[in-house]
Amino acid sequence: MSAAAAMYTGPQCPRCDKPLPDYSVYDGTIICPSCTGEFEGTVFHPVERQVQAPRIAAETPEGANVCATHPRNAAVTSCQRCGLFICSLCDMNLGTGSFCPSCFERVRAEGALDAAPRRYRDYTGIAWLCILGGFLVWFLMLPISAFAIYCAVKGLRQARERGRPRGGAIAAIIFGVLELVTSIGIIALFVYAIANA
Amino acid sequence: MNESGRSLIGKYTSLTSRDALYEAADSFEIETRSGYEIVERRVLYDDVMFVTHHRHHGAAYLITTGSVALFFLALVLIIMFAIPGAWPAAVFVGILGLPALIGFLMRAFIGVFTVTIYGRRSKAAIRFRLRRERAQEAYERICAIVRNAQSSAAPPSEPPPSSAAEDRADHVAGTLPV
Repeated sequence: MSAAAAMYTGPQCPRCDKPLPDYSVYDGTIICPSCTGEFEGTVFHPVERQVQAPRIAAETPEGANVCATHPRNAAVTSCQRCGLFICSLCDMNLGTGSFCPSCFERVRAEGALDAAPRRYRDYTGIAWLCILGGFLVWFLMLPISAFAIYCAVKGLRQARERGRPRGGAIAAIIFGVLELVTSIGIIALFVYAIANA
Repeated sequence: MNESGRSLIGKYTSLTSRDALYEAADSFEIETRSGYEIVERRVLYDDVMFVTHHRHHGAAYLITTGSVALFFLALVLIIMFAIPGAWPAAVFVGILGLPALIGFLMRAFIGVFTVTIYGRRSKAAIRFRLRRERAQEAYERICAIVRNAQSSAAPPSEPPPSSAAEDRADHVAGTLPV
């Protein structure tokens, strides 16, 4: 996380990025008290999210397990790493199973939490860079075009998995193959020229 | 919305990165391309607190393009007055400096329109060059999306009737007469 993102605390002036005091956050034309810049703004009042943790008293007295952190809450599941009973407040589930907060932090720090990856390599972009580079550095066209095809195929698979448009990756594969054929043709021409010299 | 379940609202391009803002099912998705790495972030509709819209000129851009335009103008003048009959060269140098001059004038007179979304934990911005109407449309569209999402997520004004389990819990806690 960048320093700017870490310091983000809420509405700011879009011109100077300084936090706006509450009295400066309203609908209409606003003048920033810090930089005196003018901008148009619309305020929204998001509803506070509340996790409905079933209270232990609402459950049958014999059947309910208690959350390890919140004794008044009924456990809804258990942590798949340490087995601790956890309530819906503590349940950290990103699609790969339930974790208690401490295990979630550990698993995330280890990089083992592969659900919903938010940072990934742009293989299609790399493929296009290689295709361009292959034409610029023509004597290395063969290995570069092969690498471009490899990256484009990975980009295509990535786009399919993430449900993103695939046109760029398919076009990169086509151009990569054309470049590969061109490079083989150039090598064949050289060999032919040397053989006939 | 397209096949990936999201539609593009706008972009924000800087020297180092390119951001694209999409409207998705429950959130604004921000896709930041920095080099050959893509980072995805979200601002949930339920989390949006403030949306702004403003026009700015960008001092750094104006200084850079203005300096380049002045440099080429100076070159043109030097060529025209120092070397007699070299006007084709002056025209060529002038054409080279024309994009910087056009960029400077357009930014100085029209500016850039930015729409910024502030959520509880994150923010997103999109920028429109020379297109005030598009920026206004995007601003209104974002406000409408957030308004719809937050009004549907708002809790009902009347508290729901208590269930049998809650009654039993209250009896256990001793708040109701048995």
